[in-house]
Amino acid sequence: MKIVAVTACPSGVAHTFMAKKALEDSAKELGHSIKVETQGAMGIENELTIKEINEADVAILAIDAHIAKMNRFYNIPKIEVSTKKVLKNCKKVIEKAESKVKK
Amino acid sequence: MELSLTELINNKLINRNFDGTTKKEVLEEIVRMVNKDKRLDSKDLYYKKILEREEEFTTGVGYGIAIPHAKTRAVIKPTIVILKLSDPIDWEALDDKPVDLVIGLAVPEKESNNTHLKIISKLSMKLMEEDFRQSLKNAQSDNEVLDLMEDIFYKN
Repeated sequence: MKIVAVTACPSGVAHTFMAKKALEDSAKELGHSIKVETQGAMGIENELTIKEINEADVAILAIDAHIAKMNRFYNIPKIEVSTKKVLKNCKKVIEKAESKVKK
Repeated sequence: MELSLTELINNKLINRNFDGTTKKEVLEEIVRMVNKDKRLDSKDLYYKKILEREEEFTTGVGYGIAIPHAKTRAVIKPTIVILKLSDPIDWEALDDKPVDLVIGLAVPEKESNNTHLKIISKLSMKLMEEDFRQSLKNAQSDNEVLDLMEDIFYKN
């Protein structure tokens, strides 16, 4: 499964990046490919292109507030969770994303 | 851009044996250390913002680690504080485990230096790695802690 993800937390210095790492590690462990964009204190980093989003099976938005360029995900199966949820049980989040694809 | 790690952390911002027994004591100690190193405009505002952030939801991210932090105009320059607790304390962590390593972060509201923010973000990601956490927890000197931080600083 190809996953694209965005992480964002209120201050954009800690949870944004911890969630990114958690998603990358769990996706790898579960045999998925993933690219994670961060929207943190340094702005958008590792930005997802429209092409990457269109080619993905599912988007995971691990965000605690509104994010920029949300409209990019209009046309793709997606789940929205908090960064907290990702840190607490990342595999479960990815499994939830899997179920979106299977439907 | 040339800059040194000491702009973010130094041995005055490390305590490898803090004997606080409550979350409140730990947070107060962080504020005290950051303030003592002349990195705050307003001690009260930084403390208030840290508490607000804790109330939003716990910064106990699991694995015995908490990362209380605040991004506010009360902060003069980006700062990392490292406290190793002599006894683990409750932090209402995501995995319900007690916390024995606290990484305090102070970030100015309008931080223009991305290099500093980059290091803080890299540190956050490194904390997800078991090896790194253990090395930090087992460090036998402040210099050992600084060496670990330096690895993050210089390696990609």
